[in-house]
Amino acid sequence: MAVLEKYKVLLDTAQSSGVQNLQFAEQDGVLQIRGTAPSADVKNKLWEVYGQIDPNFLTGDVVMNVDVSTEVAGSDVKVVTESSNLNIRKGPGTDQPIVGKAAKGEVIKLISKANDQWWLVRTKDNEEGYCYAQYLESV
Amino acid sequence: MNAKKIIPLLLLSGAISFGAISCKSGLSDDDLESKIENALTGHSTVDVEVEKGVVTLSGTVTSQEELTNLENVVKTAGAKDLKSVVNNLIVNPPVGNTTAPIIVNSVDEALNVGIKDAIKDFPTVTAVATDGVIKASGTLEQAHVQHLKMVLDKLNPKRVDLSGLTIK
Repeated sequence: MAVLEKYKVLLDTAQSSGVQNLQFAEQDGVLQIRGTAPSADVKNKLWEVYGQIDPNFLTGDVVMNVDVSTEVAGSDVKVVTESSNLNIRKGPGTDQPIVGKAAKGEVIKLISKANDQWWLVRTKDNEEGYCYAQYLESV
Repeated sequence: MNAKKIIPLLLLSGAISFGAISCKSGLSDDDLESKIENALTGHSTVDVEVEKGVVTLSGTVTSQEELTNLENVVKTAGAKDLKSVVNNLIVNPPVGNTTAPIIVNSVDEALNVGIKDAIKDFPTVTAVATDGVIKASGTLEQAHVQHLKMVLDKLNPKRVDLSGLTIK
């Protein structure tokens, strides 16, 4: 139960900030965390707390996969790439041809989620295709 | 064939047919039902009905194992008096005290496909999954480490090992 103790602040933060369907358990020495945060801010806060406990995430004793509940079909999402444009692809996968691009900071429409990694989106210029979900955040 | 030989044959065939009848009669449906209900004591959500030796089970159980187990109990209790079992039991897991297990992906092929997409925007980083553990190596600016960890955790691996990464 050592990892539960080590990351108590993180789990407490998740509970107190309204993360839904929160699940956590130690499996093979790794604390697995799942849940749905009420906003992108809460999700980012959790990652900040995690990073404070384990700087640069080097220990590797946590796997945290937290969704954001506001990132639902029909909602607006913002492109949060490091610097480059976000590729919009014909299908869900980097092997798919690029059909468009969205600039960093651009707000686009989330149409549906193909899976955890690939979301179908539409830009203001009506370009439609799949983007890597990790570079999208609810606004 | 004279009469002396025929009589014992008739007696013998009579005995055989009588024996067959007595074997077939066995327990009445009501008795069989009682016997099976006794065997199922403690399973209050299960109903037993017997008609012409055919046992019908209905009601709910909490797991597939319980369902199979009960059917075996019934077959053992009914033994040769039981013709067949119609199992209409429904598996209805208890609500509230059980939560779905946390999903962890330990299939390396699936993880490696996900990794390829996930680290495309980290050209200085390579990562590979072995036995469900993602091990990353290469170099990365400190500001981008969290993002890398987020995209890799999203794949639900058993562990993400960034210790081979040189952080600038």
